[in-house]
Amino acid sequence: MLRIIWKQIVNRRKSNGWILLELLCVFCLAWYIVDFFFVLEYNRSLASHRDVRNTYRIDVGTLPASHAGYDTASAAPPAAIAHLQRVVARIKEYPDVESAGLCLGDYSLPGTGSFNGSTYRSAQDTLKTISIQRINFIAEEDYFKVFRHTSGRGGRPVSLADYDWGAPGVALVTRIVAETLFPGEEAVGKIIESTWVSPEYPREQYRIAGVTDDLKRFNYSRPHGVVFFPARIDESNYLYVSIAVRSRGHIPAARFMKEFRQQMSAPLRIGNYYLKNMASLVQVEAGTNYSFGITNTIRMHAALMAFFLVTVALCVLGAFLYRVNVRREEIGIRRAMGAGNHGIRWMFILEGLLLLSIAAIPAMIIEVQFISAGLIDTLGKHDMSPGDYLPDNGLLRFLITNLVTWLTLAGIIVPAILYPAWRAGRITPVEALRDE
Amino acid sequence: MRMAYYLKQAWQLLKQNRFYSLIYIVGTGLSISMVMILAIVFYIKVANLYPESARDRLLMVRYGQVTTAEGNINSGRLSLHTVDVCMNSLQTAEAVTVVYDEWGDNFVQPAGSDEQLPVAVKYVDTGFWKVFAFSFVNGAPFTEADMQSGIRTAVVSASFARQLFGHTDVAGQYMQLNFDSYRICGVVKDVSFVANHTFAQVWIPYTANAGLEEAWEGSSYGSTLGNFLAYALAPSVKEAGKVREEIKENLHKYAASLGEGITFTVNEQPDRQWQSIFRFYGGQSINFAGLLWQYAGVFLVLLLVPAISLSGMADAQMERRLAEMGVRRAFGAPRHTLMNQLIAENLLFTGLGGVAGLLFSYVLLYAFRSWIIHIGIRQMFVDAAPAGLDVELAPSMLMNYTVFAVALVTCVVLNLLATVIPAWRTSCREIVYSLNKK
Repeated sequence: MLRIIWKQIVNRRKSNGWILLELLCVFCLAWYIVDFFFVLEYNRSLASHRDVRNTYRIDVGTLPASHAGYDTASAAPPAAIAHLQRVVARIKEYPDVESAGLCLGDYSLPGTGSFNGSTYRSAQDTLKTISIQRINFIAEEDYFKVFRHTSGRGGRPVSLADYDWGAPGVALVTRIVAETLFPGEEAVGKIIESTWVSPEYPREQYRIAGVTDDLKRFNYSRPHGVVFFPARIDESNYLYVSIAVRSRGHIPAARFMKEFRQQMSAPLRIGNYYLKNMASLVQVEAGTNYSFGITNTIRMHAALMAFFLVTVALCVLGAFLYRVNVRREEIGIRRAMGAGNHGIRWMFILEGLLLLSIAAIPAMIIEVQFISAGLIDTLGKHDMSPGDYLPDNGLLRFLITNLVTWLTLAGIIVPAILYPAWRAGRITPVEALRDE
Repeated sequence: MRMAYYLKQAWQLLKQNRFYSLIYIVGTGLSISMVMILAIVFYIKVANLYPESARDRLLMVRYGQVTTAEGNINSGRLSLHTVDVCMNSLQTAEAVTVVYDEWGDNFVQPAGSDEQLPVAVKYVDTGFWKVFAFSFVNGAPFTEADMQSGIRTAVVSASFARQLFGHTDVAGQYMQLNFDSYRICGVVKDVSFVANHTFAQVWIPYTANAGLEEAWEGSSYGSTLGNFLAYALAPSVKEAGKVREEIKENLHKYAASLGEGITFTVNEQPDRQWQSIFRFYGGQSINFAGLLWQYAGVFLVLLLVPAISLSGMADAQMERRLAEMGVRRAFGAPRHTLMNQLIAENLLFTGLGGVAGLLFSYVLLYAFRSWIIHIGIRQMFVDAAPAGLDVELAPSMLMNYTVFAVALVTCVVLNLLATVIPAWRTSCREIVYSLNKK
C-alpha cells in the first residue's frame, strides 16, 4: 500500500508541493519549540529536594520614629532582638503553623529573585573551585524543616538537630559542592575556603558539617551548588532577618494568609514591630518567574506552537478536502474493486503521514543548520550547574525532539484528515463512476 | 465597477464552497490575529497615551554602569548628582524630571483598620507634572516649595482615593503611608499599568524620603549611581535629536570629569520611547537594528506560514476554475487582467479573515491583558501589575487609525503572498489545456 501511495504522491507532486512546503516550514518551527519544551520539562523533572508548597514568607516591619506608637527603648538593638524573638515565638504558637525558620535576606529564601553568589575552593586542593549560592540561615530555628530539605538522594529529611552547630565556622553543602571539591572522598569534616579576598574581606574557612541533596534555584533550572552558613541573631544582622513558616496545609493558601493576618496583626504588634505583609512562597516563585520573563517566554512558545499546529491542521484539511474531490473516480474504482470505507480512510491517513515523513527529512537538515549557527539555547545550562544532563547530549536530544515533533504533527494531521477521509469513504462506486 | 463585479463573483464562490471558504477565512483570521496582537502590543508600548501623551518627544536615561579603577563593575539607576549635572542644565529641553520607581514595598494604613494596603508609589519632582500630562480631577500637583522643604504631600489616583475615602474630593485630607502622615494635594485620573513611566497609585516628592538622594557606593564609583531615572521632553519631535545630542555631550563631559580610572557609561542612551522597551538593566548594550530585524522575522513567519497554506488552498480553488479561465483567455482577456481578477476576488476572503482576525485579537488582548502587554522578543525583568490591580486597556489603544491601517496593510500583504503565485500559474496555463480541464 505504501508503494501505491508513494506513486500517488510522486504523480501529484505539483499539487503536493504546497502541502510539503507548509509541512517543512512548520516542522522546523515546531521542532524549535519542542526543543525548548523538552529542555524545560527535563529540568522540571529533576528533583528539587525541597518543598515550598504550604510555605510562606512573613514580613514584619518597624514603626517609623515619627509614629505615635514608636517606642524609643524598644528600638535599641538588644531590645529589638528580644522583641523579634518574641514575634517568632508567637508565630510558632499559631495553630496552623507547623514550623518556622529564619534566614538572612530574601536571597536565602527559595523562589525569590535575589541571589547571593560566591566562589569557594577546597582547602586541600585549591585548584578545585566552584561557584555557589550562599544561604545564610539562623540556627535558632529549623530552617531545613520548613522547606523539607533532604539528604541521601531524597531519602532522609534534613533537620537542624542532625548536625553539630556548636563549633564556629561550620557549613552544610549540597552534593554538587561535595562532589566537585572532594571527588570520591567523604566531604564531611573537610575544609572549604573563599577564593576572593581583600583587605576588608579576609579569607573565610568553613568545615563541612554535612551534605544535603542538590537544590534547584527555580523549578525550570538545573541543580547548582549551595552552601548553607549558620548564624545567630545579633546586632549586625537582626535588621535583615526573614521569617518563613510552613503551614499544616489543612486550608488553602489564600484562606491561611487571610486568617493569619486577621488573627495575628494585634498579637504581633510587639515593641516597634508590626505584621506588614505575607506571601506564599509558591506565589513568590511564580512572581519571580514572571519578572525574569520565563513565564512569558513559555506562554509565547505555547501560543506560537498552537498557531503553527492550527495552521497546519487547516492546511491539511483544505488540501485533503480538495484531494477527495478531484480523486472521486479513483476512489470509485477502488470501492468497485472491493475496498471498504476503512481501507479508503486508511489510505488517506497514510498519505498524510508519508507526506509528513518526507517533509521531515529536509527539515532535519535545516535544523542542523540552526544548531550550527548557534540559534538553539539550552535553558538552565550554566557554569554553576556542573554534571551530565540529557539535553547536553546533542545527538540524542536531536533525535528525541524530532521524534516528538513528528508525533505532535502526526497527532494534528491525522484528525485533520479524518473528515475528508470520512467523506471519501462515503463515496459510492456508482456515483463516482457516473462522474467519470 | 470592475472591482465590484469581482467581489460579487467571489461572494458567489464563497456561497458555493462554504466549508472550504470557512477554512480559508479561519486560516487568514488566525494569521492576522497573531500579527495584530504583536502590532497592538507594540503600539501600546510606543504610542502617545495618557498621561504619556508626548512619548514621541520623550528622551530618557534610566541606567548607568560604572567601572572603578580596581576593575569592579556596578550598574543601576543614576544618582541625583549625575542627573543634576547631565540633565537639569539642558538648554534644548522643554522640561526635565527625575523619578524613583521602585514601588514594591509600600503600604497604606487605612484609618481605623489594622489592614496594610499595598500601594504602588512613585517618588518624583515637580518637573514630572510638566513632562507628563496628568489630568487632575481634584486639587493640584505638589509645589516647588513642598518639594524643597521635603513636606509629605501626595498626589493619588482617582480609584485609590475612592478605595480609601469613598470619593475623589480628597485634596487637603491626610493618609498614612508606611505609618507616616501625608497630605493629599491632588487627585488624578487613573493611569493604566501599560503607561510604565508614570504608572502608580500615589506620587510623592522624592525629598519626602530622605535616603533616596544618597548616591550608592560613594566616591570609589564616582557617586554616579543611585536611585533615579531621568526624562527630558523635547519641544517638538523634530528637536528631539538636538536634545539627545546635548544629553550625550553632557554625559560624555561628565564621564570625563570623574576620578582617574573611573569609567562611566550609559551605553546608547538617551533612549527614545521605542528604544526604551528593549532596555532592562544597566550595562546592556543593544543592537536596535538587530532587534528590529528579529521582529520583522517574527512578523514574516506569522504571515508566511499561513500564506503557504493559503496558497495551496487558493491554488486548488483556481485549478477548479481553469475551464472558466480558458474561455476568458480564448475571448481575448490578457493574463494580467485574469491575475488581477483572481487576486481581487481573493481579497474578499482575506478581508473577511482580516475583520475576524482583528476582532479575535481584541478578544485575546482583553482576556490576557494582565500579561500579554509584556510579550516580545528578549523580554526580561518584567514588572508584574500589583496584586488585585486590573490592567486597563482603553478602547483608544485598540481601535485607532494606526491599528486599522496596520490590519489593512497586513491583509493586503497576506493576500498577495497567498495568491500571486497561484494566480500567475493559473493565468499562464495554455488556453487549450485550460479548456480541456473538466
